[in-house]
Amino acid sequence: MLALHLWKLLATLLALNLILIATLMIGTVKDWGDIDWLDILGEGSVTLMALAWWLFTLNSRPAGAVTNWLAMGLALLFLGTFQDVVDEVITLPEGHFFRGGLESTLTPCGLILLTVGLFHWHREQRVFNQRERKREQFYREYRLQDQLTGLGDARYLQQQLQLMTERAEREGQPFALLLLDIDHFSVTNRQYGSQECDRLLRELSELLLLNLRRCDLLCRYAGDRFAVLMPGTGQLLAREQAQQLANAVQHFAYKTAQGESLFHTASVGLALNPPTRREQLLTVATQSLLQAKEAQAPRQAA
Amino acid sequence: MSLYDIDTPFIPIHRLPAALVEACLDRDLDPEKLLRGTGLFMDDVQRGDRLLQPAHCFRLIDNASRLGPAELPFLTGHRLFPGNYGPAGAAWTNAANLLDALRILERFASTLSPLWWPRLTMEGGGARLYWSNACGGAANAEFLNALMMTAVSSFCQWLGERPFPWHYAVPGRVKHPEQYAVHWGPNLQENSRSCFMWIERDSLLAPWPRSSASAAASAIAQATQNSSGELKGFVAYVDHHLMETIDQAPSMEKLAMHLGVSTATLKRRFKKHDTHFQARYDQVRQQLAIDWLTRQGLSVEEVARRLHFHDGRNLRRAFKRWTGVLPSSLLGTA
Repeated sequence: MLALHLWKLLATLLALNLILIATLMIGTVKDWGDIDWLDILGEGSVTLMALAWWLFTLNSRPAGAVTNWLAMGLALLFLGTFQDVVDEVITLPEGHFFRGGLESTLTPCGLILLTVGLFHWHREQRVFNQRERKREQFYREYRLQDQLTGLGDARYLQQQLQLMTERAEREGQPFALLLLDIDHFSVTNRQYGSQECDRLLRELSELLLLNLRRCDLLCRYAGDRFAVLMPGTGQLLAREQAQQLANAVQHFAYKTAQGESLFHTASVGLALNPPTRREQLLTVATQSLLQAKEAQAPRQAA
Repeated sequence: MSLYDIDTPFIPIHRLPAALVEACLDRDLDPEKLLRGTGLFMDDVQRGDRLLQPAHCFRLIDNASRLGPAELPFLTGHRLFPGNYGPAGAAWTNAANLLDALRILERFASTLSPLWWPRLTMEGGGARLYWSNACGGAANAEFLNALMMTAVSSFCQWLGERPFPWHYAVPGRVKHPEQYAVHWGPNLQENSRSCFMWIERDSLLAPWPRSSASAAASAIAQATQNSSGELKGFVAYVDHHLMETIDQAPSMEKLAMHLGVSTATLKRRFKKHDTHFQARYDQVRQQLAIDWLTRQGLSVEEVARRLHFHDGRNLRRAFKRWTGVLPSSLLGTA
């Protein structure tokens, strides 16, 4: 990411040098005895932290207007605090602009730019949240994300089940847990290889997302099994949703790298709270899924 | 019979190591981090002509399980076979039925599963395939159990063109139950005293569509000539030998004599594999004790006598130390 921001890095380094050189030209270096080490420690650590924020921000963001605001704000903050440290070791003539004036200009300007940047960042995030809503609802935990599909994994689902149960109890609303498993996935895996199957899973997760309501949450449970958490959903509605998802999978023509169309069916298992208690939800949904598999294909697909 | 150690270079890189590396690359793992400390390079993996020590493989597994997702052993298991396993692999691919396939796997284990040792036993209701340490690597037991058992059931499903109703038992509690539930199905027993997969007799003898009797026979003949059936992991061999000679009161000295080495050499060899004589002896006695007490219904006194304990009390105490429970709690749990 840092490579995207080359000119910002160079400009800031240049400014840093200019400030240093200008300060050295104007002032005189203090004697060892005159230096207040406590001040250096305090102000130096602020400078280093501002530098770290700036680098983290640049390294984690693509180029763009919001990034420019944030980067300029943090860069000015860094330069201002840096100058503050420098005048601890260099005596500047009384009344000169560099004595206090420069720092008092740079730092507030930096804070203003940073505030503008953060405001736009907040607006930008709202747009993303809209888009990511069916993936993460109102809870984000990057460590619990499945690498392949970007959906939450089984542990994330467990956390969400906990939160959902609490919410459902508070609001007196039922909710449903749905498990969806692709039939004969292992046959496709053998015939077309793991890379095709990985892409199939990625596309299926997109397909399922499209077929969900805004309030639903999709997770990748494991392998070819997906989980959907549906708040405010009773039995009738849950069955309808399950059928819709199964239909969507059934009509999805996955195209292999060679352009061949592959069709799959899916089996679905449901569990509802109430009556099922939270700890039992996954077990009940799994049992229901296995029954559906049995009924769907007497040969029982794994 | 020749034995291989944790540092014997004889595992072709294009088998398990390459399958694991490829599965990791599919999940976008950094190749540099994956191969760190293994002495391998991506070039070796792509050329596929190097022979690795089991120790290299264990380090690779260490890295992969630390960096990779929870599904990694299962993904690797699904792609481990058929691969290129020479005549032994051809014999396996042409097996007549499930029982035949399991027998071939056991017979040519040094080719088909050199790191993790399968042992087949036939018992009343079906076939049981035990898995254990072949030449060290006990620290990766959970990963290797998941990998090899997935590999066997996935490959047998492909050969038989239908899924088989396996039951699985693993020691301890699994870290990611959801992976096991999806890849193995609902029949998993945790906290088992040994690691095995079990299947009922009904599934064993149904003929397989892909088999060819004459191809299998010639492949077995070739594989036997290659003497790969004669090769065995040091730890697996010791376990087997102790089990066979249990009635002769095994000891470190007798084992050293049997192997034709000094006890000091034998001790060093055990240390290399991160184990020692007493651990192997206890392991074997524990398995026999469980077997005799539950499935054969022998009395505690009789088992104690056969396993060279002073009396039943001593056996009870040792049993409690090995397994955490008293022998009496096992009665009737076969």
